[in-house]
Amino acid sequence: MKNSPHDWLHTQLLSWQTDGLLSPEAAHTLRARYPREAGESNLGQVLMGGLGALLIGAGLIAVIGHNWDDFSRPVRLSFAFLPLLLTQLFSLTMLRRAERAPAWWRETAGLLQTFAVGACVAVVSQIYNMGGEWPDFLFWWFVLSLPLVVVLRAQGVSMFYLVAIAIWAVHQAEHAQAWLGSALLYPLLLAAFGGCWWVGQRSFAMPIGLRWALALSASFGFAAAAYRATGEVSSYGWRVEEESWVWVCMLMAAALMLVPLSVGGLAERTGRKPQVVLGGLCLLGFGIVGTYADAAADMHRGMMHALGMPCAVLPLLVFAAFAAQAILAKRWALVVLAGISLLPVIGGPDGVALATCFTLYIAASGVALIVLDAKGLPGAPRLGAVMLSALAITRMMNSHLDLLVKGLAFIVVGIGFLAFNIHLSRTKRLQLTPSDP
Amino acid sequence: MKASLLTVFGLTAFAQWLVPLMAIRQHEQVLTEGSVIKLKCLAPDPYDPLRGRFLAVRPDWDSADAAKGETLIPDQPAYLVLTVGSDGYASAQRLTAKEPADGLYVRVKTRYHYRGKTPFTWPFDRFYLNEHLAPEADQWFAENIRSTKGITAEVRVLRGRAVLADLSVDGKPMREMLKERLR
Repeated sequence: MKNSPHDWLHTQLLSWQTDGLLSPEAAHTLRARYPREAGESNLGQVLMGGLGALLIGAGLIAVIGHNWDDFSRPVRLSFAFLPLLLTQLFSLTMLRRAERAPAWWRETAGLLQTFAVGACVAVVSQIYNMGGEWPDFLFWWFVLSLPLVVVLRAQGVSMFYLVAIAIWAVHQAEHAQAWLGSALLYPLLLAAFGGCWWVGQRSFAMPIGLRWALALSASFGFAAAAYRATGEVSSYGWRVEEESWVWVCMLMAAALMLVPLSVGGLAERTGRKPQVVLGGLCLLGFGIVGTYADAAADMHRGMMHALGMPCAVLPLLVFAAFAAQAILAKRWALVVLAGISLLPVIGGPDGVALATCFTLYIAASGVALIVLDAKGLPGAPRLGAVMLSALAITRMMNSHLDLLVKGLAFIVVGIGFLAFNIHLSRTKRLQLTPSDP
Repeated sequence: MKASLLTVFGLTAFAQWLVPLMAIRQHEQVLTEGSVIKLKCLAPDPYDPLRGRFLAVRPDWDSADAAKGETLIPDQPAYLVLTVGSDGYASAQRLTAKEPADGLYVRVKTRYHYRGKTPFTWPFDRFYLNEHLAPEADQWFAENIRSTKGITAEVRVLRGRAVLADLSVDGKPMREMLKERLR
């Protein structure tokens, strides 16, 4: 299995130090800035262990699904509690071995215990014909599994928890229950995970797979919470102000993208920052939609309605704080992209004017990001090119031009995009090639 | 090993036992001490990805008049006060937001309505079956859809809690009837 760049760096630092290329102090500073990610050294083993536990757990659930109703209730209940007891003993053994226990054993123990808890609750609810939908069952499952994130420092359990809370929140988004049973609980569930992870690891650093799980969970979970928060119950049923929801989602996407990072985090490439990728794509998507007059007018109306809601004010404040921090950190490309979320506020109620505003902003931002880079300042030429291309394609599709003209325009944009990419790659290669002494 | 980690693990393991055990205790108490009521119902056969095949129990009435002078808010808990006829079948007396001091009643959840009777959701909606019996139940429904044979749900009720004890057809337990058909 391929190691991460941090692993590679740690291996190289040792040899550079031995060769006298690097002082011990400099090596120490670099090690601190780019720490090895938890458990990544045995990623293959961890994955295999996790897969084994997953298969056993899934098998256990399927066996329970068969429903052994020929057996008496006490016997069937023992089916529920015996696997739970065994997996708890296994986890306890791993816990007693502490650091001597290989990471993959801890992962396996964590996942097995998680599945045993699920299987136990499933058997009990099956035996007593308990009502309720599967999300009610899922809720107790992930709540009872969360402490394993602290105790066993298990990434598989973390991933299960993050995915499960997002699925649960999305399902509860349209339910008009009290906030405790609705998607509004999601931020609290996520915060509980953050606390458990920090207590277990003494750091917020996460392996890349878990980062993606976290970013995806946050994207769907917060969108579901916003959906619930922007809706209201009337005697006719559940009604959501969808335009308000869109604007709150834009703010959340912007905040997600601008989450403050450590120096090491800032230095990482974009692919290892899923919150930036997801938040950016989401915002660009909303921005492109805003170039249509009707959609832009709806966005403005929704924004006006949402401004009176706490569910919009809170993300707005978080966004403002993160944006200020991003400006201080000179993350210009992201600040520019995040600006899309404020266009409904400053663009006015007229749909055509606001759509024009969206179009000009995306075009100007795209050009600026390319020019900044060309002048040697911090920019993001590829992001700029993507923004311009997406804008050109959308506007062309919406125009009343002939198919022939549209087709040719698409080809020109495509060729331009490829040529620009080739030019960028060459420039980068030239910059990396060491000059002659 | 850190004592704090061991404590957290102990509490987690305890909670993992406590939650299902509490559910078992509650349901066992209703099954042993509760009064029996009967409800005519439908029970088609869907599937739960985690808990297997079940019959979706739908009693043939799910609305009642609100108590005099009461306006019930939709999607909120309410209490359905029941009367039981000489044949053991239950019927609705009234629906009220305040828990009755005594008598036979079930805690339900109201649904949205415009006028007339208030619809509600029963606290039980599924009867789990062995995966080999469930398709047979489907087959039985297809054959008896126009017949007068009805399914009866036997429910135990205690202090507002209701537990579905069994389903029967013509007084015979549904599971037994399906097993005989399979033979």
